[in-house]
Amino acid sequence: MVTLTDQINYGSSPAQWPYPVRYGSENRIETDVLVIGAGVAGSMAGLMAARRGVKVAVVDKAPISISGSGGAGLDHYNGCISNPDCAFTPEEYIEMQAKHPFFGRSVDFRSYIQIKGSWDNLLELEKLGLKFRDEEDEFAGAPFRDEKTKIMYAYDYKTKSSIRLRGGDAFKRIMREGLEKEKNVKIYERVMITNLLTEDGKQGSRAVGAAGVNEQTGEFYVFSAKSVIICTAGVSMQATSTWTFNSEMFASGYRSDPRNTGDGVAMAWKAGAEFHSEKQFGQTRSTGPFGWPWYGIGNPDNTWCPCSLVDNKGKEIPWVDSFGNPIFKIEQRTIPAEGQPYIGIPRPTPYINPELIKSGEYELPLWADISSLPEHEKRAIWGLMVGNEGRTRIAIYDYYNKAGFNPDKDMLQCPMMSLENFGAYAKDWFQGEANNNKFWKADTLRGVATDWNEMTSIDGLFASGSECGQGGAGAGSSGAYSGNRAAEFAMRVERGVINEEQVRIEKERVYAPVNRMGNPQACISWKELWMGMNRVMQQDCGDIKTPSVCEHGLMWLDSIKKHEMQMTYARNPHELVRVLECESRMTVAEIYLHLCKANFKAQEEGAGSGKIMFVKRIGGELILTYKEDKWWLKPPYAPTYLENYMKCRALEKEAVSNG
Amino acid sequence: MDKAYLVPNPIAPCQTVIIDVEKCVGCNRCADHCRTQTIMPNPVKGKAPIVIYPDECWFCGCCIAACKNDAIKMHYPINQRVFFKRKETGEVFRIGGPYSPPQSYFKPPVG
Repeated sequence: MVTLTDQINYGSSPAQWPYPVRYGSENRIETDVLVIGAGVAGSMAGLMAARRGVKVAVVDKAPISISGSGGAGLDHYNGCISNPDCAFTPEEYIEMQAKHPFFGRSVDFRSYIQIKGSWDNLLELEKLGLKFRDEEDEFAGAPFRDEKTKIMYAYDYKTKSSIRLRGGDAFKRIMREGLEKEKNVKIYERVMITNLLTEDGKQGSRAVGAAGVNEQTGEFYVFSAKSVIICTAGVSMQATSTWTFNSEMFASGYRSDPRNTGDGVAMAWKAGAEFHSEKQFGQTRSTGPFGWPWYGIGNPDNTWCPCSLVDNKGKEIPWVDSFGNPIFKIEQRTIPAEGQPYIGIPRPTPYINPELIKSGEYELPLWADISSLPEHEKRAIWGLMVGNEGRTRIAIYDYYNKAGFNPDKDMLQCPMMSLENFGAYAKDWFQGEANNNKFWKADTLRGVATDWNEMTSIDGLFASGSECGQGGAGAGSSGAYSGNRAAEFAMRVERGVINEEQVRIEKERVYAPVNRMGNPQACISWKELWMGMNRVMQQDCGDIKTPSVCEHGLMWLDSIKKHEMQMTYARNPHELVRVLECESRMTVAEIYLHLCKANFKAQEEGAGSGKIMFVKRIGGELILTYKEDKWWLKPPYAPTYLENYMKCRALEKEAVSNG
Repeated sequence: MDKAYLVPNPIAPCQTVIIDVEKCVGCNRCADHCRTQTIMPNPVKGKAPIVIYPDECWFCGCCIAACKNDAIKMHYPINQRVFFKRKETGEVFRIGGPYSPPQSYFKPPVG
């Protein structure tokens, strides 16, 4: 019998799958520390755990030399406050940041762990082979370069908080080579971890391992571990497309790795881990599939900072500082304004007065006049930043140069926007039309909550990198820190027992899309499942949030889970992993709605005013817990960031001195 | 000329990366460096890999960086091809468009 799925997309006889297919075949691996996801955070976690003498399994869905959001390169190491030339100490900086209108919301001990360890982490990477200093003296005399250390800073040349990476293109390759050299590390690539395994198979119980599937062979994996670290980024980097998705070209619009599908947060939620509550969210920012190539459109910000803009007649657009005061020199674009301790966000920017566009004073389109910049800035933008930033060395630098673009002679067009958005301070240059959503309305979860050890509320389950709210370069220091903590945990506990019933249930779930292939009812593609979930979120998790809309959304998701999700098909291991990723997305959507629900519940109970709320779901019940504001500096913890940090790392120091 | 096939529609607007089968030696390094499995090895050993899932391409360029034979080209869709203007002459060109000037900037990226 020819089933419906046999007919779908079969124009001609399809080619054979290029790898041996071994669905259901089991690999059992015993390790001490299991690292799930080996981007910047996971790679550092694996390295540091292994150096403590424990066995480590590092697992990634993709090849580690290019995996994760930093996998295609990294142009600068942001928030490297602990570097000795930074104008502030991490302790001073964290206090200032806590008062910042943009950062304030999320500043906590995890931000501190990130900035405190970032310089050490960069030096560690240098030992592994990363070149970030300007040894070649190409930028000698440039205002962003330290003549003694040959370090090149970005954005804020006075504060010296961000370091440009001369060879950031090779960032992940270097990390993988480092992992390969560690005899305690075993690497598993193309393996998607699909679920955590817990003691007795119960929610809230200690993590004892995880199960997964290989996207080339379809093989099954069962890892037994004494501690587990999730470093899978999840939804904090605006990539899961919970609200929007285009089926034809979805990955090109992503700023971060398209394999960032929320698997980690989904499995932590299902295991009953505590999450940070969220106040407001909805609608995705920066995930439109038809935006401009990232960093490949004329603009004055971010990687293109501090590029001049001109109108279509060549008239220069004046700049203002972070306070909106006019500035006249190029050098003022990269130093704090009078009375400003450090630049932060918003940075200085060209002020595009919408009235002047209306009156014809400014003729559109605008152009980024990189050719007018001093040589060091021009080369820093085009060669150093665009040359090393993720997915720009080939896709922008090489591609545009070959297409005839010449930064010495040419200007690059800026996107068109509405007048209102041209005048707005924060603009989304890369998507063309600015998105009016405020920052808090991004497709962003702060994710799993952790303690000072970066351990979640589940015993033995750690979370680091973007997974616990620390994106970008800081992921490395967070990863190194959690790798040490997870190794220490593994050293002091006995191995937990894998619950075979939990393994059996997970295995059945994992292979269901393959096993139902002969069923004529199995006619739902992974893309259809994804778009179905998007519609739920567009309708029931948008601007209007009420308890009934929230319940309706959860009911809708549940209805899809019980019906269409049980009809999704997978014709090969690739599609199988895509279906499983969409099932992660479905869980992510549920998390958003449950967090909404938790807010209403808290309101109803009148609980927790002025406190920090955490949410978990155990046995179908939503459980809200509260902690004092700044609980991380209150008993049982020490009153300062530094004391707590040193205390957590105390064993690490002993280990080093003993060695 | 008089042949036609019953084939599905193109899965993505464009092919994203194009492999030159003349230059390709079938080493599969590109497939091994593709995070989304957009490029998959050819089941026939030694033949050029297949760009099977262009809709999932992130345009990260890791396949091109991995290729030792310069056999892969990136293909931006029309909607992502931006203009640039030569300051001295005022001429306007489009990335990947017609009448593009020849490459005149050859400095390698920094680092």
